[in-house]
Amino acid sequence: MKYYDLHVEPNFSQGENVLEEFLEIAQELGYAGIVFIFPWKKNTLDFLTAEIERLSSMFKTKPFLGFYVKSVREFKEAVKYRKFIDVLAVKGGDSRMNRLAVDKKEVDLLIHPERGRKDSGLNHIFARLAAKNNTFIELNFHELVASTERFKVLKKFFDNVKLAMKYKFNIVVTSGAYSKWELRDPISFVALLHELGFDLKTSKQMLSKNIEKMLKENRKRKKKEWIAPGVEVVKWPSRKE
Amino acid sequence: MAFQKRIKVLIPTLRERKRYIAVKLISEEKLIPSDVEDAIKKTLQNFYGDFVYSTFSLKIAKNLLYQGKNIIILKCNHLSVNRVVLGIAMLDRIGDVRVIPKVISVSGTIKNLRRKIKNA
Repeated sequence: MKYYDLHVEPNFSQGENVLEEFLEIAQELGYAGIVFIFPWKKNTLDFLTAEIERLSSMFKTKPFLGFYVKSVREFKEAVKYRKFIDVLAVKGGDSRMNRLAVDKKEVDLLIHPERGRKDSGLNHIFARLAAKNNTFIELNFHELVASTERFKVLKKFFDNVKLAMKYKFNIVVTSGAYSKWELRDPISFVALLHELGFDLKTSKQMLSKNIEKMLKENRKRKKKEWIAPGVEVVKWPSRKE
Repeated sequence: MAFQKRIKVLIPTLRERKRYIAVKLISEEKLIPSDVEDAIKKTLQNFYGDFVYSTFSLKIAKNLLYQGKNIIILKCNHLSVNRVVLGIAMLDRIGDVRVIPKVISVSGTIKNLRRKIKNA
């Protein structure tokens, strides 16, 4: 099965190691692809796109380019360049940003909606919107490992999984790694989802097929024929009479 | 009649169904085998607490670190495989050495597991 890690933050933003080191470890762990997520800056887009393209031929594990936004202003700017980004994420925690992430179709991923909050960051309205707009909600494994009060993080995970089961939105476990040593085996992510309440088949599907489908759809945006989600220019073969 | 020191082995239907989990520890520095065993047990105990930890029937079946490989084989019952796998992922350091645990395979017999390790 092809597994993907949707959230890795390498050295350009806050992490420690260079992209090659991340990809080396990810390849050893058996990932089919990992998404490098950087803070949104318009001037870094060209450089990072070239860097990701250079690396994609070097390793079995495919790298993908993602950006996260922290404010509405950043989001409005990033949406203009949505075509060139594989994954657009929103840093959650603030209820306004959580709402923005689930409300907009352009957003793919909501990063740690529960950070710095007493609740899980989602309610039934957010959950319904996330299902409608196909937004992935993240369960950040780094938060769980690094936290001093793991029971609080787990409680929030359980709350979000409960909503995901009822409203059928996509939930995904990511490593949230800042350093290559924080990457984890995809099997342990499957085990976490299974322990949180999903059956084994669904847990595997959430970390492989669902993400693969989303990434494929986003890669289509880069083609000239793409106009909008579900709308493409199709050339008909010319008739020979 | 002489008193028997060893009691009879439990009948197969009452025995627990066991599973062996092969875990590879990715690290840059050499690991001390005894430290690895302690770290795994402590991590699982911290994460689940003594009560749940006792239900795993966890044992270190083989420590291949003594043979120079960075692989350790754990034994637990079939119902707690998922929890053990998740618990091991919580391990990030052994002493001062940073590690990434990778589950190679899960099997019902050590013989089968060894075959899978060779192929991996």
